[in-house]
Amino acid sequence: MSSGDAVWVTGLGAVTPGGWSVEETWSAVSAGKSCIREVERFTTFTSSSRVAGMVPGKESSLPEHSLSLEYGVHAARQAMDRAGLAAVDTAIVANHGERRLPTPEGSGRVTGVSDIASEVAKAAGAGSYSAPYGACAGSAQSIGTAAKLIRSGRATTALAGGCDALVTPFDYFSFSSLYVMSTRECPPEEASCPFDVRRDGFVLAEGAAFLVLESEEHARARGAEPLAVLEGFGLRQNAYHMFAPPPDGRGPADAMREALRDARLDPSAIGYVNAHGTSTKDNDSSETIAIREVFGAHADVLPVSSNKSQIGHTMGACGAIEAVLSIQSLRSGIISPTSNLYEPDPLCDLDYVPLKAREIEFDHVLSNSFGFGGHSASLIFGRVS
Amino acid sequence: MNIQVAAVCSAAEQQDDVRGQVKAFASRKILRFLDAVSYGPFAAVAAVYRRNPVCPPEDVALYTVSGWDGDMPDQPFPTDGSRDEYARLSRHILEDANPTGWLRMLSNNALCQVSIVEGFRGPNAHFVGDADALAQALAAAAYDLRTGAAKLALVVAYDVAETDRNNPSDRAPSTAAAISLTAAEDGPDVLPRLFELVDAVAGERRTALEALELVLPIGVRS
Repeated sequence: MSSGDAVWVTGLGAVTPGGWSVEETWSAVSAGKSCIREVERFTTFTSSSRVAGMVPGKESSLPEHSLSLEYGVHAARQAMDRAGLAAVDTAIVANHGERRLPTPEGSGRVTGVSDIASEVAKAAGAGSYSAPYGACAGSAQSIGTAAKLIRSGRATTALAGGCDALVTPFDYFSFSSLYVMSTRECPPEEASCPFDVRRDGFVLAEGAAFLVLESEEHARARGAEPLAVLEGFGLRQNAYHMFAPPPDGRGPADAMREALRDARLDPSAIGYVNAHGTSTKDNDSSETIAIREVFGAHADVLPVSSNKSQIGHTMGACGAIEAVLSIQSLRSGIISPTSNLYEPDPLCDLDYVPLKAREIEFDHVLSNSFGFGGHSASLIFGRVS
Repeated sequence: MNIQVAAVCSAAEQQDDVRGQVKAFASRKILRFLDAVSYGPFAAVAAVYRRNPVCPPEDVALYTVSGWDGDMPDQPFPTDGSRDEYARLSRHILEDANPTGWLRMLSNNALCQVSIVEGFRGPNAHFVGDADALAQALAAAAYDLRTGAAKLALVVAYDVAETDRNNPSDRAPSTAAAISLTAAEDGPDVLPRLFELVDAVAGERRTALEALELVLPIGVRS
């Protein structure tokens, strides 16, 4: 980041279709194991989509309580435990609330956005909280905003990330009516196939992830172990459409350029791009164009992969989950693959690390998240020198 | 770099016919994507930017803050607790409802639509929350200005009446206020005073709109 103190990542937590911890999730993702299943927790009726990514143990029924809150609190506690902190200054918790069938009282709301943010903040002992509502870019916005607060001296420590559990009839049918989810006739495990010519939509999923961010000075003073440095954040608006990606890739390209500027890095310094890679026709081609534009010739040798090929699209949580997995990649020197990429789309002509993980040492990773509402966000993490 | 106020727009400036105000800025196509809840912030953003544009729209950062967090449409049919309710819901959503209804109820909709109209391409986010969230938006805006990520930052707070809080977006009219900030090498820095005022009411869990209304007079004087 380009002013003030460095921002260290000192805690990570995740709950995903891959498991109830960062380690379980990383194990599934790095092995290229798909976590997508047929939806059993409710009947999909005439919806042409029938698959989703659900957290293990929660596949068979929909409880009365909020799954988003359950996942969020669990992931937040993991991150706090890993950081060795009892409390943070602030919590920034992206989410979209949780809904069921509307009732005669007027709303089927199980939990509101602020209620979820407030409870996660309590779990982190945070004195204040907010909830970015940025669709699929929301938790990347959380992480970037937390870094800005630390950089500008408004906070020393922050819990940042997001949680969402939208595999419910209301949201599932709504996304289905927008024709944005995969309807392809294939085994559930193969439905999410980013950058493949057969891709036809995303696979809805659920989960949560949080990072503990801390000023370097504060972390050093208490002897905390740095897991990574948050080096750059780029946030841009497409100003194009509510949910269609810009065909020229401008918003995503602007976000990546801004993250590089913020990190003071040349594009050639990036060793891996963790793509938004939704498995929709438009996103994957738009993101490819944007990566080519930003990275130029370096794009020919730059590994790019999508974790959504294993765990699906976790909506407001995806930016944080993919930030956690990017940091796991950085620390382990293993780039997780893009699963189900058997027939590359000629419009998607990058090195997507198909099918099998790759061992490569690198120093900087860029993670992309783009969301309904025109939000484009890019985060850059680096090793602690 | 010192943070200075470029322009303000108070909630009192919003007319009873706020949709009429929005029509002055938005095309019919955009109007189709706006519900009552989005009119207030849309009008406040467009007004405060046009009052003192300072820079081209592509260099503008936009942060909106609200306690309203999006809701769902009205109950599509009477519920009776029977097992086929979800089947009816699926039929309603998949076959009868207009899909754009789901998009209009998103609480970042105003930010998105006004960005399309004005061409704002800078840093942007919608925060659900109260005065604390407003303070975070102001901090993010100031950071963007000081680091060169934006040349002008608009911070907007909006809210709906308590009685409308659980209404669908088309029956939740909102009120909004806005401030635009810029950075300069010289002149007074208003940021410490802005934070002082917002932080003072954040502990009382005041709304973002109430907190922003408190700071607007400071901005005008600067």
